[in-house]
Amino acid sequence: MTMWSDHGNSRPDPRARVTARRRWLAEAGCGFGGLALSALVAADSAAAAATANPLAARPGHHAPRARSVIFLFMEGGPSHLDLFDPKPLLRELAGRRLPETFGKVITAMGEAGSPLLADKRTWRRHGQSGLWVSDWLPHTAGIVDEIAVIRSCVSDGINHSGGVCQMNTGAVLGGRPSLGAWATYGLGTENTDLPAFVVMQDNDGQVVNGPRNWGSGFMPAVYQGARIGGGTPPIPNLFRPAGVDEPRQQAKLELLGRINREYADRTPEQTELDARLLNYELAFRMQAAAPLAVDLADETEETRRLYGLDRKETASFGRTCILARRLVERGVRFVQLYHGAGSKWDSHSGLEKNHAALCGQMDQPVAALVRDLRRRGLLDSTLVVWGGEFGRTPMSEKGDGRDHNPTGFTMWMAGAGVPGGITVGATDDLGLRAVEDRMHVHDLHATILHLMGIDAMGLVFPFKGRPERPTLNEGSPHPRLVGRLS
Amino acid sequence: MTAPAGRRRGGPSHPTAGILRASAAALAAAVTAIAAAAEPPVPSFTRDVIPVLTKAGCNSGGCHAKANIGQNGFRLSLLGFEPAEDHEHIATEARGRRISPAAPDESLLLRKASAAVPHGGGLRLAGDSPGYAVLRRWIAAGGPPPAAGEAVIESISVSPARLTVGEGAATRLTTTARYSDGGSRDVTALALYEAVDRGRLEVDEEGIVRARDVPGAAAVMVRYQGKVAVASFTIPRAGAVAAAPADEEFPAEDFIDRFVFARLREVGIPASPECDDATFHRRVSLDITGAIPTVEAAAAFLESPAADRRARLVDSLLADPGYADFFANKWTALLKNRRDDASDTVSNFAFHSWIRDSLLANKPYDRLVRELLAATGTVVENPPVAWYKRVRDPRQQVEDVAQLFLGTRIQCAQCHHHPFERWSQADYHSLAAYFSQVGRTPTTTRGEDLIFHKRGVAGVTDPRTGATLRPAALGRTEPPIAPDDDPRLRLADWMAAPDNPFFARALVNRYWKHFFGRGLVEPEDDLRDTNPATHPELLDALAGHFRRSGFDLKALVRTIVSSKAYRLSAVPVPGNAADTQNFSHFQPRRLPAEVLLDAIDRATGTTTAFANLPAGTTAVALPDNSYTRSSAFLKVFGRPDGQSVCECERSQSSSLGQSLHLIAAGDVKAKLAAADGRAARLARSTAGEPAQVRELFLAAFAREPTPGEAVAARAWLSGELRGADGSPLPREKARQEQFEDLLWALVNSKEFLFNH
Repeated sequence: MTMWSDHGNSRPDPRARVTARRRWLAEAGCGFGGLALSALVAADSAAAAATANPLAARPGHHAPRARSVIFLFMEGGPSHLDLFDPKPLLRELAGRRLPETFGKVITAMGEAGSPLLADKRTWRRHGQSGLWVSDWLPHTAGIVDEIAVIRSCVSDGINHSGGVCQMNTGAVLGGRPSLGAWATYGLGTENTDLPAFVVMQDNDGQVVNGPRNWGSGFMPAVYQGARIGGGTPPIPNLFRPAGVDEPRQQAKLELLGRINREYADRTPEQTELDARLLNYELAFRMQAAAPLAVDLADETEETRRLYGLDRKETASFGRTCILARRLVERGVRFVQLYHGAGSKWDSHSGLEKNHAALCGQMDQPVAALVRDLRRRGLLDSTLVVWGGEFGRTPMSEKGDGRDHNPTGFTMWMAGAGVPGGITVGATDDLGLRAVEDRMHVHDLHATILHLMGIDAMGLVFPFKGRPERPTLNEGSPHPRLVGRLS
Repeated sequence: MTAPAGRRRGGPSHPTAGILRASAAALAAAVTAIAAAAEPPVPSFTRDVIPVLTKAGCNSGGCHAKANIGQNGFRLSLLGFEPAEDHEHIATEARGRRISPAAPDESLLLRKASAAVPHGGGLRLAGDSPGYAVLRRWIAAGGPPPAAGEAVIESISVSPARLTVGEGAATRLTTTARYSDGGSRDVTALALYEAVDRGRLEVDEEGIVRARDVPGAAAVMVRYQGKVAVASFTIPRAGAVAAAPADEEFPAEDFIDRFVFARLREVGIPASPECDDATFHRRVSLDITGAIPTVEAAAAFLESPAADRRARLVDSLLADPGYADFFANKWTALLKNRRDDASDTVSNFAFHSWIRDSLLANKPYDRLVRELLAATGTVVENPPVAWYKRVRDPRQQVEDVAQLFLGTRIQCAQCHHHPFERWSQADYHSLAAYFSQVGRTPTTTRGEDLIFHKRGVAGVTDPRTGATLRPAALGRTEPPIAPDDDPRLRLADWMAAPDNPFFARALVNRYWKHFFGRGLVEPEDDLRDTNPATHPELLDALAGHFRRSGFDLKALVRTIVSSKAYRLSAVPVPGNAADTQNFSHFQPRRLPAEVLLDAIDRATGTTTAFANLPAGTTAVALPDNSYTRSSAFLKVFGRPDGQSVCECERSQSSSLGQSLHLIAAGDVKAKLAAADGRAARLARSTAGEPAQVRELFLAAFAREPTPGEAVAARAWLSGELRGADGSPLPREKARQEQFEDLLWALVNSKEFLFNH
C-alpha cells in the first residue's frame, strides 16, 4: 500500500478529500459534461443537437405506468406444465402418444412421438385470487395476488439461440436491438451516473448468444446493456486497482483533469469530441456512484434474509435481485437478470432434479423482490416480468425430461398497474399449444413498451432506408395487462 | 435522432394554414388536370388507383403490405409494385366484398379508408378528397383490372433538380411522370417526398420544401410508382457572405481542394486553419499505418528543416509495412476472414498474408478484386479462394460483392423492388447468375474446398416467373458467355471498365471516409441515386483519377493526405463548429481498438503477446477475429468480428466498459508498470527531468509539452509517495510509480484517445 501526499504531509483529512473529489468532478467530470451539453443546447442547429447526449431523458408517447422494468429471464426454458399450468388430462394420458387430433408437431429434438409425461407436482390454488401454482414455487405462491399469469405465450424460436434471441430482440435471427436498447433509445435515462440498461447473471455461465442479447443491433452502442456481475466486483474494473489508495487515485484523476484542461484550452468548442467523451465522464462518475449502488452493506438483516442471502442456494440470485431493486431505486431504466445462465433450465432429461434445484434457487429471491418493491412503494412504477425463451412439451424426452415448446408457455408480469391475481389466455388440454388469447413475443414486447409509455409502432429507428420498429411492425399491447379492460 | 417518432396517422401536418390551403387547391387542381387529361373517364388501376393507395400509405410495409400477411386479412403489394396481385386482392378476393360497383360509397375499401367503419389505420382518405373520388369512379366503372398494353411509367423528373435556398426559405417541387407512349403528366400531388437529411430540410406531402438552419448540401427524394428522382439543395449559412473564405487558387492537380473549398464558399462556412506539424504527423501516421509516431520519429520530424518534410513523411509511411498491416486489417474484416474453428487457422493466415502482401506490393485494386472474385483452386495454392470458403451461399456472394466493391446494397431486391432503388428482382438474380457456375468439391483437408469453374451456361431461375436469367451486371447487357468461360471474369472485366459507374467510386468513397471520418456518400457503401454525394463532382473526379492511375491505392492515399482539406485543424473557428458535412475542419475520431492497444504499447514501451504469433506482432497485424475473443481490450473497444461486409460492424462508440478498462484494468496497469517499460526506464534514467518529461509527451502526443504541462508534470515528480505506514517509499520505487502515474494520465487523456 502506498499513499500520496503533496508535500510530504500526512494523509489529507477526509473533508479535504471530499473537496478534492468535488473539484475534480467539477473540472473533469460533471462540470465538463454540463458545459458541453449547454454548448450543444445553445447551438441552434439540428445537426449539433443530434450529437447531444443521446441518453438524455425524454418523454414517451403517453404517460408511463412503468418507470423501470426488471426482466427475470429463466434461461433454457422452464416447464409451464410443472409450475403454472396444471393439466389433469396429461396425467390421464401419461405414457401414451399425443392424440392424433393434435396434428403434426415438430420439436427441437424430434420428440413428437414420445410418450406423454405426467407432472409429479402437488397443485393448489393460492391467494385471494385462487391462482394455480405448483409446490415447486411456495414463495411465488405467496405473491399470486400481485401477478398476472400469462399462460398463452408463443414464440417462433424452436431452439435456444433463436428463442433467446427473439425474446430479447423480437427476431429469431441476430442483428436487431434488444428490448432494453429500444426502451433506452425511446426514453433515455434519468440517472446519468449509472447505465440506463443493466444486465446481470446468477452465475458466470455463457448465456446463449452472449452479449448480443443485450446489444443495440443496428442502433448506436450507447443504447446497449451494461453487463455487471452479481458477485464482487459487480462491474469489471469499477474499483481502484489493488495497491492504489483513494487519495492517490483522486490525485491522479486531478492530474488527468489538468492535462485534459490544458488540451481543452488549446482546442475550444470541440463539441463533438466532448459529446463522445460522455462515457468517459460517466465512468468517472460511476466510480463514485456505483459502489454505493452495488454495496449491499446498508441492507438490513431482515431484507437480506427475505432475499435468501443467508442460504447458499438462494444467495447468488438473491444478490442480483437486491441489486436490481437498488438500481431501479436509482432510476435505472431496464434491468435484466438471467437465472440459470448457460441454459440451466433446459431439462431434456431429469426434469425433476433440474427444476427442483433451480426453483429452489429462484423462487424465494423473486418473491422477495416483488414484496420488497411493494413495501417500498416501487412496485407501482416498476414492471417485473418473469419467464424463459419457451416452455416445455407434454411429451417426454429420454424418459424423464421434456423437449422445447415455443407454441404455448407461461410468463408472468407484476407491478406497473398490471392487475394482479389474474390468468391471461390458455393452452390446450395438454399444454402443447396456446389456444386462447395467444400472446406472441411481439405482443409481450408491445405490452412491456406500452407500460413504459412507448407505442411500439411509433418508435422508429431509420436504418438502411427502412423505418425499423421494436416489434417488427407486429404485436399489440394486451388490453387486460395494460389496464384497458379489467 | 428521431426517437420517438410520432406514428404517421391521420392527415399531413402543415407548417402554416396558408400553405395548407394553397396545397389543397393545388392538389385538387392537379387531380382535376389528371382527370381532364386522362380523358377516358374510367381511372386506370395502375396509373390512377395505385398511386392513391400509395400516397395514403395503404401499401406501406407497416400496413397492408406487411410481408406475406398484410393487415387484418387484406394484403397489398409493397408500394404497389405488383398491380395484378393488388387488383385481385381488392376486386376479387373475399368474394369481391371490398368493392361494390352498384353502390360505390358502400365499398368496404372506401368505408375503411374514410373511417366510416372502424379502421385500424384510421382516416386515410376523406370522403371529399380527390383520392377518394378517383377510387370511387374506378369502382363505379366496375373496378376494371390493369389494362393490357397500357402505357407504363418510364421515369419521373423533379423540378427544380438543383437549387440554392436560404435558411428558412421554402420552395415548391413539381414532379412529372413520363410514360412509354411518350405522354407525361404532373404527379406532384401523388408523389411521395422524403428529405434525405432531415436535419437540413423538411418537406411536406405536397412537395413544399423548407430549408432549416443547418448550412450544407441536402436533398429530397421523390418517389412515384417505383421511380425515383432527387432534388438537390445547397443551403448557405445565413449572413455568411462577409465571413465566406477568400477565393483561393489551387493548382490544377489539386482537384480535391478546388472542390472542397468551392463548396465551403458556396455554403458560406469558413475553414479552420491548417494543423501544426506535430498534429499532422500523429494524424497521418494513425491514418496510414494505424500507429502513433515513435519518440525518435516525432523528435526528428519536429526538428526537420526540410520544406517538403510532410510529403517525405507520407512517402515513408506508405513504404512502411505498417501501411499494409493496417489496411489488410480493414479488408480482412470486410472479407470475413473469420475463425470459427481451429481448422480455419491455415486458410485465415494464408488469406491475410495474401491481402497484406498485395497491399505492400501495391497490387492494382482491380487486379486484387479480380483475383479474389475469380479465384479457383485450393486455399494453399491460391489464398483468395478462402473468400469462397467464408461466403458460401451464392446469394451472399452477390450481396457482398455488390456492397463491398460496387457500393450498392442489393439485398432488398432479392424479394422486392426496393422503393429507394432502381434495382428489381431480375437485376438481383441476373447479377447472382455470374456466380452460378462456381463449383466446389471437398479436399482432403477438413473444411477446405477446391473451387473451380463448373462447365456450363451460367444462369439462375427467376423465383417469381420461373424464367432463366442470364448474367447481367447492374444496368448492363452481357453478351452470351460460352460454357467454358468463367462468368466471374466477365464480372471483373465489367468492374474495371472505364465506364463502370460503381467500382472506382465505391472504393474512393470508402477511402475518403477512412481519412475524413465521413464519406462523400454516407454510409460509404450505399451509393444510389436517392442518396446523393455531398460533393458529387469531387467524387467523380476522385474516381476518375483513381481509374486513370491504374487503380493505384497508394497513389490514392497520397492524393488524399496531400490535400489541404486533410491538413485542416480539428479546432473549429466561429461559424464552422456545427459543420460535420463539408470538411471545414478535421473530425476527431476515437482510435480503433487495435490502434489504441498498439498506441498504449508504444507509449508505455511494451508489447502484447498474441497466441501463435511472433513476439512483437502488433494488434493491427492480427490475421483474423479469433484474437478478439481472447483479448478483453480488443473486445471492449469494438474490434469487429468479421461477420458483416459493412464497416459499421466496427464499433467506434465509447462505452462505459472502455472507460473503466482504461482507468483501472489489469492489462493496462501491467503495461504501465512493466519492468522494462517506459516508466521504469525513465525512473532509472539520469537524463534530467526536462528531458524525461519531453520524452513522455513525444511518446504520447508526438509533440513537446506546453509550459503548463511541463510544470504540472514536474510538480507531480517532485511530490513524495508514502507507504501505508506513513514512511516515504524507497526512492526508486516512488520514482517509477510517479512516472507510471504520469503515463497513466497521458494515455487516459482525450488527446491520446482521439485522432485529431
